[in-house]
Amino acid sequence: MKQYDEAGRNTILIVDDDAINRAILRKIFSGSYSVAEAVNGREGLEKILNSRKHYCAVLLDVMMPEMNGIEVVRKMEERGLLKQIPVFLITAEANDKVVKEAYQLGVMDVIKKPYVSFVVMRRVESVIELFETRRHLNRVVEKQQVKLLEQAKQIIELNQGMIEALATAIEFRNEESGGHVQRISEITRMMLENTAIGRGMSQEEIDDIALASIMHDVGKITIPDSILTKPGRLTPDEYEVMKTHTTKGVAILESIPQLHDSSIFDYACDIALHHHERWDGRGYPEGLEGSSISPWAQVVSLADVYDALSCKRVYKASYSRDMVIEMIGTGQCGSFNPRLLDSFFSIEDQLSQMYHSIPEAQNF
Amino acid sequence: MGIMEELRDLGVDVQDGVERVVGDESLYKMMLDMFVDIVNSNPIRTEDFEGEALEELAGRVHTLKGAAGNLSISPLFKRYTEILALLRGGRPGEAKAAFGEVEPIQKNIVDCIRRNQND
Repeated sequence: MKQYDEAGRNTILIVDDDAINRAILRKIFSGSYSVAEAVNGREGLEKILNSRKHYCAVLLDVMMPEMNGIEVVRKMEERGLLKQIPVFLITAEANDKVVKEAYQLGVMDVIKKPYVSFVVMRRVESVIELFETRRHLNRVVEKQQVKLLEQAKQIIELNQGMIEALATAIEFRNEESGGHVQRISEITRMMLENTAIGRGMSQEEIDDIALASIMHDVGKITIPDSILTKPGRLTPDEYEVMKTHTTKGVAILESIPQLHDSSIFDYACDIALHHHERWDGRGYPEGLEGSSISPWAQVVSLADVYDALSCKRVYKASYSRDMVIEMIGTGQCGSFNPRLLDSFFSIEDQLSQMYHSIPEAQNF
Repeated sequence: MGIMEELRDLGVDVQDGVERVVGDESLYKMMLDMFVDIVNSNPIRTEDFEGEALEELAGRVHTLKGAAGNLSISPLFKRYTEILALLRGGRPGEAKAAFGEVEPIQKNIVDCIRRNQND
């Protein structure tokens, strides 16, 4: 009965200029395998390279006209084929130099002629089975890797979903629609991907920062409703309480141990703490100044202001787009890095598209 | 007396030869015919050992040695192995002398196979 491996490979290629030797090997293997033959190294190599399926084994003589067996092995090694097809040198010229080079190149076995037929059969079949088992194991590992990657992706998506759900829940408490955090994330991503402010950042870093930006206001969950949803201007004391959402936001993030190992953790803490800092040092909570504020915290703070001005809030109506641009450009909402402003204005036309169809930006 | 007995008398290990082709005696006999063809297509003359083309001569000796070994034609295999070693060792004179010994043995074996070819 012919033996097939899982890929349907069942053909042994015999490459030998000696017709008697080919006939003997054919006799040995034809009961269990299909047998193909080549009468010299060049023909053998052509068959190996042109075959649509790989041979399950190649039995190769060394001394042959046109191209000798060692040259065939070298050509196969160059193409990485020796890892896929077991090659056996069957030779009467098994001197130490030839044997050493053959093994160094990657042949599986060197069988000296004249040989005993059942010994050849056993040695070749054992290696074919070994290769078959190895291919099978590789396929199992590949399948498991795909499954693990899929599971990891699901975990990441679940984490992202939970983070977004938490941030949205905070917004609803703030009597906002839930779209604010999504827009902040989108503005942050667009600015980092499309302007000079994100230059030098990898896509992975940008993805992390965009996700981390969603949690910029997580500390607002600690602010009393009477302050958070107050329709009018806050008193100085109330404002002091409101400002604590930055430090409390970091405390909340730090209290989630699972977040510590995440690549977004440092970004999320920095953004939550510093998204109200200003370029001139007049922001809060630390009064950081200039480039001591991280680029991602600067981007999120500008995105936050742009969105807050464009949309209606409990304490104010939405502003027109012209007014928003003027207020940001003239520093009425605090000063920003001039380079950041250049980047922002270079894509503001694109950013404004987000506000054309949302009810809370009715005056935009 | 059949070919197998005749060859045995000439020193050929026919039992081992048949085992080499997985016990198939008819295939072994067919290969003996192929051996005659190989001898004809790789002719070696005494004067070849005095010429320049020793590498080419070694190639033919190698072919005959391999064919003899595959069929357990032991007297030829043993002597062609020695001749090949002498040629590769740069000793063509001694190789020539060894060939002088093997030539009549080969002739007897080939004649035996030819006589029985149509059996």
